[in-house]
Amino acid sequence: MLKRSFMIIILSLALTLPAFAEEMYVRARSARVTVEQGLGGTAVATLSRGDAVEVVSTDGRWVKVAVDGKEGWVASLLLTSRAIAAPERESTYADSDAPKARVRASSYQTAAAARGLSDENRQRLDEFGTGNFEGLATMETFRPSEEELEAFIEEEGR
Amino acid sequence: MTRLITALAALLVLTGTALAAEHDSARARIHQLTVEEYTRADVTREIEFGRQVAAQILETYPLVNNVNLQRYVNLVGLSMIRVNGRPELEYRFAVIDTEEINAYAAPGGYVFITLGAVKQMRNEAELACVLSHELTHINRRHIVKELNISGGDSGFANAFSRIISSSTETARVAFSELVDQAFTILYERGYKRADEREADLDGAMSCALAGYDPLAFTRFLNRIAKVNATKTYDTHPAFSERVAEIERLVKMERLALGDGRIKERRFVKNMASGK
Repeated sequence: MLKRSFMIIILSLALTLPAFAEEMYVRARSARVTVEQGLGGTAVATLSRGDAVEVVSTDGRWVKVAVDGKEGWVASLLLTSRAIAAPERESTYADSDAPKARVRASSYQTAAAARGLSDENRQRLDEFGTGNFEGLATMETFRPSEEELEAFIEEEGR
Repeated sequence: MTRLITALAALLVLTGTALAAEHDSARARIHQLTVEEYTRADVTREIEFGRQVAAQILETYPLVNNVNLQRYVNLVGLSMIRVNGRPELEYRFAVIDTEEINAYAAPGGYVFITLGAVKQMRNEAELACVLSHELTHINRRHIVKELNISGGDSGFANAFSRIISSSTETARVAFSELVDQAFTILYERGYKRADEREADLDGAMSCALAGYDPLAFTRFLNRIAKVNATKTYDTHPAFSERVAEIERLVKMERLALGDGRIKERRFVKNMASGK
């Protein structure tokens, strides 16, 4: 009788308690996990793009996460529920990282290819539209290198 | 004894159900914050569509012929991407040659700001906040959702594929209609009010997270409200309402810690090189 009762309890537990772990991923370049909500706060961890975190709870624009046994808050804007789609982006960024890639005549084709556009479909789309595709190609050459961007962000002074 | 065990089991069921409901609610809140229900195919179509819209914007307004200025705006925009970007997109920024004061975002990662708007700015933080507002329209897929561009068998991805793989006149018209609808949102009707609010708040929040002073955004809005309150940004909610909302967010989230960057000197230097 007692054995049966325990079975009932265990079954009840198994049926009713859901899996609570909700995983999210860092979509920003880096994300500080802090003891309290807000910009200042003491950091308990600093995460990088693609890192997975376990969601503990949410509060407005902040998400409480667990990382390596520690808990802290991170801005929800810096997280995504999607696993980071690395391959497509990697090929795009690796290309633009190359020093010679600062301004290249071929960047238009490269960017289009990296974005999954076949030559045929791109040509067809261009024929469909009446837009300024030459201007668009020029716009795509304005992109600075990762080194330039890094130096720009690190530049001191308010 | 049996009654006690039955009661305990019932209690567990009730507690578990309550916890499950709470969990579902938490899950819903998380997904409300980061709603990203789309497939890789949707992203490819979004970029293809956005590229058409971007080309059309450049047909209306040409690029400002100044590489230094364009590269500077790209550096500021890409700085914001590190905080407020979708990893699967590659973003582009450009200054377009019109004295109108406005900014536009085409799906897939294309951001445009008018020369008129840049001229009204006093520092880099203002530029960063405005670009981040536009980035939010892209990241939250406002136009994509408004035009019902969603995945699935009957979704946009398939319909779009059928359109671009066909060279018929009907397909051409269907495609033009889609682009026209995007233009109606950008130039005439504007985004939904809720989308604008979301862009303002995410924009200010990401500006602060990137280390800029988020109140630079409200200073810019107050300035352009005085320049031309009737025509500028007429697709957006009232300036006073937007400023109040942003200020409320900054206060509530304690985003203005007094050490937010303004980067006035760098901005002025790059504006001078842009002349």
